[in-house]
Amino acid sequence: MDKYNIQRNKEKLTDADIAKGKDFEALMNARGGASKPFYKKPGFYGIVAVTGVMLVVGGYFLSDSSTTPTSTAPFVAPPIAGVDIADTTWSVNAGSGQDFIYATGSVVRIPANAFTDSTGKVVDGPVEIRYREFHDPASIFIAGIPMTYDSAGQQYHFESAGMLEITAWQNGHPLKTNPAAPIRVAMASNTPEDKFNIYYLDTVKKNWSFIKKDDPIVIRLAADTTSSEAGTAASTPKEPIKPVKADAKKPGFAIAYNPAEFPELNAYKGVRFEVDESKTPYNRADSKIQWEDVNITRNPDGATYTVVFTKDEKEARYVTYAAVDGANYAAAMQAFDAKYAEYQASLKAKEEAANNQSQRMQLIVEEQDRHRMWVNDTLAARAMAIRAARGMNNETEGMIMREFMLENFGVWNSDCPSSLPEGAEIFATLKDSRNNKPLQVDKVYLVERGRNAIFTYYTAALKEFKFNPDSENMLWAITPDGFLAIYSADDFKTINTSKKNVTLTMQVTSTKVKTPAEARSALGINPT
Amino acid sequence: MYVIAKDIFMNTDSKYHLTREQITAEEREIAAAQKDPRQFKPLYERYYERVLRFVYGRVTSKEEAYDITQQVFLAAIENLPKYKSVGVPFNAWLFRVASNELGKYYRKNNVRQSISIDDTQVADVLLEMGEENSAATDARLMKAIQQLEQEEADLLQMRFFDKVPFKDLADMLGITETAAKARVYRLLEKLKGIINALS
Repeated sequence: MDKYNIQRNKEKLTDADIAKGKDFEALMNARGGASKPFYKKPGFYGIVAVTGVMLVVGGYFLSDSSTTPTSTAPFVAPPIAGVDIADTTWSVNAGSGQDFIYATGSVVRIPANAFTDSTGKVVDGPVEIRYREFHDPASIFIAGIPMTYDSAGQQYHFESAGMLEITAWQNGHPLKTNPAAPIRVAMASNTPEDKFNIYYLDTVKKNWSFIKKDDPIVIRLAADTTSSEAGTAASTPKEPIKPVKADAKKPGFAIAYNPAEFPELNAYKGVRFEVDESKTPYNRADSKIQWEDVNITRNPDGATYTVVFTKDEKEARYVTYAAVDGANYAAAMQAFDAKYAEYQASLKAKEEAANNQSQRMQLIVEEQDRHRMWVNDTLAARAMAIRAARGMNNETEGMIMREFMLENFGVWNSDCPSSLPEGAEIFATLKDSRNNKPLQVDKVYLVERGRNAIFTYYTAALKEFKFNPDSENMLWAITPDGFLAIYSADDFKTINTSKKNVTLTMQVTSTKVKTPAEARSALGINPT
Repeated sequence: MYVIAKDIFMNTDSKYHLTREQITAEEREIAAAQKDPRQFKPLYERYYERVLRFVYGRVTSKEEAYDITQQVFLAAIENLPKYKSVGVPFNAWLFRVASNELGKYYRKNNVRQSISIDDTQVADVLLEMGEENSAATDARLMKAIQQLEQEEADLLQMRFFDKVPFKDLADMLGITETAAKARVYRLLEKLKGIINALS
């Protein structure tokens, strides 16, 4: 039997059809369980009855199949026992505040009186800050941070531009933020893309909370003038074209053109395109052809236009210049003179501006300040130096930072929601390389190299396991006895995607990993 | 090798695309509807026709389309209090709900997904693949569609039969516009491969 029911030239919906179905009151009644029927099919209320149950089941059609079982486990749970991403700790005097720079170049600005205790009272004295970041799938995996986002029953998977966790402690007690003195973090990010949003991980509600659209900060130190100069070049004024008086004896074409495409001609009326016979001799036979289409293109010299007439396979091509007929020529020259005076004035102004070094520098500084926001030169320079020492290049593109204003302590993320990878779908069965028996794990983690995301598959969903065969994929899992199991990128390349049922034999490490470095080494992901 | 006609990959216009002001206004409507479901009416009025057309293209009859569309809006209202903007437009979320409801309908009633195609749309697809528009290639295309995975069939339907612009397609699929174009390109390549194998 065919997989799809293909319907050719089906009857179209009319406005009357649409009006017939549109009934908000009926929708409200159906929602309230009122007896007023909307459509009389017996199946309708059957469908309604199962809604409450099925909506929480998750996506089927466009949504993903990595359904999430209910669990009482901690929401952030490192999967490898005893292995986690270490915190960096700083001590700060709560009454005075301080700036800190993390190993990645991120800047943490703690203002005075930034902490409160459990009763809401502002605290003073020494406070311990614990801070860490996650910039690649290995660190996210090791830390056990969930990367799915549930929005009203729709499950999304996160791709991250960088994530951080920050907490504050005094005498062993966790502290809270003080809304009157918010802590800010400018987190160094490895991607300049602007598709990300800021989220906070709510461990009580077990979901991410959308905070705002992320607007990355690009920091360049003041000596860098690249962007400003590029902006100046882009605004170079354009010399207006001096009109040529049309010559009735010369061949030419009156063509209706789009004024938006040729703004330089807008000041003139009665424009015709006269053939430049020194470049393209005119063929009088062309005037007898009923052409079907004509195309005008401005040539790089800025003064001539190529006109192309076409009909079927036939083509006539002429280099032309814009000429103004006699009746409009005087007005055209007047318009030209005014435009030319404007052009000269703007050229002069530009020259003066370019010669005024202090004005230029001021423009640059203003531009930089706009991007730099609250990160000052000294901090930015230090952050860049730290990154450079770690082999990170921020000279060409500038340093990309993502700003967080912390309403709470915990995990903050710059993410964008995405769907599960697609391209191939198999019924995957997992095997343990140690004994060739079925591998019993709750879930596996699909990772695409070069993409900062982890796609979690619960084993029940492996019957519809999807991945992008064009990507470099890896599959990670933790065996019940605590070993790391890996299905490598090379293993993925051997999968015959035309087969439905595929056994994935996961290579289990011979020893248990004991440190994040060992885990990274086994996973084949170097720190970024 | 075949050439993708430029209009297919250049066209980013969207009749569904909202301006920033419209998005802000819509966010206010959503917030109001989250507190009071009766305030959902402007959203219902705005999206009813699009959802109905989307659903109708995937089922056999108008009556089915009415029922499922009603179900889509019921599900949307029930889930709206939990709705939070995740950086994709509201209509993308709504179409995901519609897709889910269709999926449930197919499973519950044990029916196949319908794909509605007009002759002119078939011609468009064949043109995109650089294939001649003949009865033979038309028949092979129909057979090739039967070999597509569900997501691929849906992508084909959305892009070529529903004429969803890439920007909206990207929002609906939760991917970038570039990735949406790449997916459509891969899909056409796959169809082309199947058609060649059949001929």
